[in-house]
Amino acid sequence: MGLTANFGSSTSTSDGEVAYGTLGTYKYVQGDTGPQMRFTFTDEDTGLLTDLTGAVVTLRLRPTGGSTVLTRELFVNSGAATNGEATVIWQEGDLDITPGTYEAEIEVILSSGLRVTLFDVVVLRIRADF
Amino acid sequence: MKFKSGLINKLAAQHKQLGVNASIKIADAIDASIERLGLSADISPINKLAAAIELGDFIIHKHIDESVLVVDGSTTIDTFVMNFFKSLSDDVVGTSDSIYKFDTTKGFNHTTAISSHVATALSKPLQDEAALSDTFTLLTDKSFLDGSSVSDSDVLAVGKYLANAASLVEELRYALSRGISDGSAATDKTALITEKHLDDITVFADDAVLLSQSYVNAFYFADDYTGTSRTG
Repeated sequence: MGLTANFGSSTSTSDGEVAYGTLGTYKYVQGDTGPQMRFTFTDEDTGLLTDLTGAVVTLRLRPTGGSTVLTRELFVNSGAATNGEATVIWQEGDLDITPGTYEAEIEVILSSGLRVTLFDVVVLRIRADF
Repeated sequence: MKFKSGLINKLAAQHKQLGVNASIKIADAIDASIERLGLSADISPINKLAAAIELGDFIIHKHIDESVLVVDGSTTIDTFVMNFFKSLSDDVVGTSDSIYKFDTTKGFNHTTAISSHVATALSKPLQDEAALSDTFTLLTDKSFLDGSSVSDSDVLAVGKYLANAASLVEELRYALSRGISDGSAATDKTALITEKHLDDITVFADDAVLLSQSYVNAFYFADDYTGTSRTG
């Protein structure tokens, strides 16, 4: 585990907000409860799996540029926490939200109390159900 | 951290230009300098996180767990474990159900035993006309059994029915014979009376020949001797 020089590759927007990328864009229909989303966390430098033992992983969903409309804790299988996997299990009503484009922030609070949040966000596109 | 990394990169680049690979010594020197300055040189095992995302149905049992949680209010962990064993024990439960089904079948067998009692009852009513309706009930029960007892019951019923008929005929014959014998008795009595009447007449005739009671000839005493006579 060596030190790395990270001078940042992000750019600033015109209004001063730091731009961020997306981990991916996923499409859901309003009211869906699936498919689930499984995140596999790794160390960006070493590529090693992150041990999520005792960690709390949280997803926060908001309309693009809006306020958070959903906070959902991800499921971490305690028996396989060393695999670095956490799964978003949508509950009934989680995605029963106004159609549009949303972005989800993933925050990891490790057992040491260290809070690490993914810089990039996950984009969800919700369309209206028939 | 960034300061240290940037310094290492710059120093490494300079030594690369000089053709000297002293990065290890430089790193050690920097670590020593940071330590002298009272800065923590510990490197966290977690740097920046990267994440790969997959879509799918990864935790199928999770929903089942929640359903169970609603039912018995057990904790999530307990529910999850219980659900895991449930999925494994479903087959076992199925086997148990099958066993219970066999018990149910046994229950039907018990019912069959009851029908056997009914069959026993049927044999008695067969002695009178009520046996017909009982036999119909027996046929229904025998469709659940093997049907063989249906024929058995029929045989039994026929035998008894014939026996009853025979007893009736015998009673009639007794009545007829008595009527005939009475008539014969009357005839016998009539004949007996007739013969007795003839015998009396004969006896009187023999008594009239008492002439032999005298031990002499009757003509011997001619005129003056009169024999003694009796009338009996």
